[in-house]
Amino acid sequence: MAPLRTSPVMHSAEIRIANQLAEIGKVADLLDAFGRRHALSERVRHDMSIALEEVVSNIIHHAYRDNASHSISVCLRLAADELQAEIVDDGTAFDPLVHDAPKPSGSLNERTPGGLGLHFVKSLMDNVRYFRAEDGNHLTLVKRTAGPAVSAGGRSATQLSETIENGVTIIGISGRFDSTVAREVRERLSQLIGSGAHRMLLDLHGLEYISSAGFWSLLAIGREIETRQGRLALYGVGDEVKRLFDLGGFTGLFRICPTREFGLDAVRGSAS
Amino acid sequence: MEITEFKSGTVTAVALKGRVDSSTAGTLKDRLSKLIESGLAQLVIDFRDVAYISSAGFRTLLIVAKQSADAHGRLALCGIAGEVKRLFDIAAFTDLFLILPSREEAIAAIAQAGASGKSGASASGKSRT
Repeated sequence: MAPLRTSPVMHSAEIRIANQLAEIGKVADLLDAFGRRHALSERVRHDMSIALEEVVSNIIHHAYRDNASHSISVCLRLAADELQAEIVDDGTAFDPLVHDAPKPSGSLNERTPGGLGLHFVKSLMDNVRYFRAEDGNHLTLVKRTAGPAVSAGGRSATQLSETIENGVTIIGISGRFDSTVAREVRERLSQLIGSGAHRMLLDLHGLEYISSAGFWSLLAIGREIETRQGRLALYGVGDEVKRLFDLGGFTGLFRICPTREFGLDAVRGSAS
Repeated sequence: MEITEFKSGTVTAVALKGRVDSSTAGTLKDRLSKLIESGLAQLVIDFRDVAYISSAGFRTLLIVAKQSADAHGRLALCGIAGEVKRLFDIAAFTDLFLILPSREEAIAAIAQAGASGKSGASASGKSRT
């Protein structure tokens, strides 16, 4: 079974740049070289490239009130199944996770240019983590590098993907969700709830199989979220998985939504 | 990023090559604004040789689209594919612009819109106030 948490870091590369737009190219070059060295897919390289540019240019534009030169550090790390980029700056405190980056909509005149960069970061990255330390803002961007691994038995290993959209934590569960992984999945989701994820949407598109242990874990998570006045919903439930829900009598116990949008509305409370 | 202009009748096609990002978006905006200001009202922007466009590039497109609309011009985009298309979808920009697969089709659509007096700024007509 593939581990659900990241393995110890295997490879890394770091750069320090000044807070000048012209320096962004150096970050792009670093990522380019790192990506080629480790044979990362075009998708992973592209997405991390966009996210890094958005974060670094935001820092350069907004993090400093003085005209002084500041140092921004970018560290790339490759673990077993994910590419991480940690960006550290000593500018004013800015947590992108609490800033709303609403899904763009409306006619030409209704659109404002602001917020699009952050929307890209949240849409393209599998996870975004932030903390504020003595030396400033620490933002970590995470992009999964592999699809579901195939174990010796020919069945897909369990994978979790995490993303945040408009205050909703979206967790993708793919592969098999059975007794061998149920505890770890439950612990991870519990951890997220504990650190504030009270609106949770599960994306089950990639789920191949779920056993009763998996169902009981989901029920427990649902209960945990509800004790914190939060909401849990599911979407992407395919025919096979739906059949398992029905067989186990679990269908009525969960908010199952037809699409991601319905799911987001359901956990935000804009739908019943 | 390289910017090359091609004329096709009354339509000016602007072909982009390279990255449209925070270091190049300003140059692109200046170039396109100048074209609109000089009265070249029928514009096609060709993204066939662009593999990367960040939010800076999208902001430029928004500014140029509004400028074109204010000048009663017509604007179409073409050659949007791959990762660029994916970002257009994520940014929900596909609804804002008239987008055709090839430069020839984009030029034809703009020229035709001009002939029939219809706005070419958006396929769904949503962009006009």
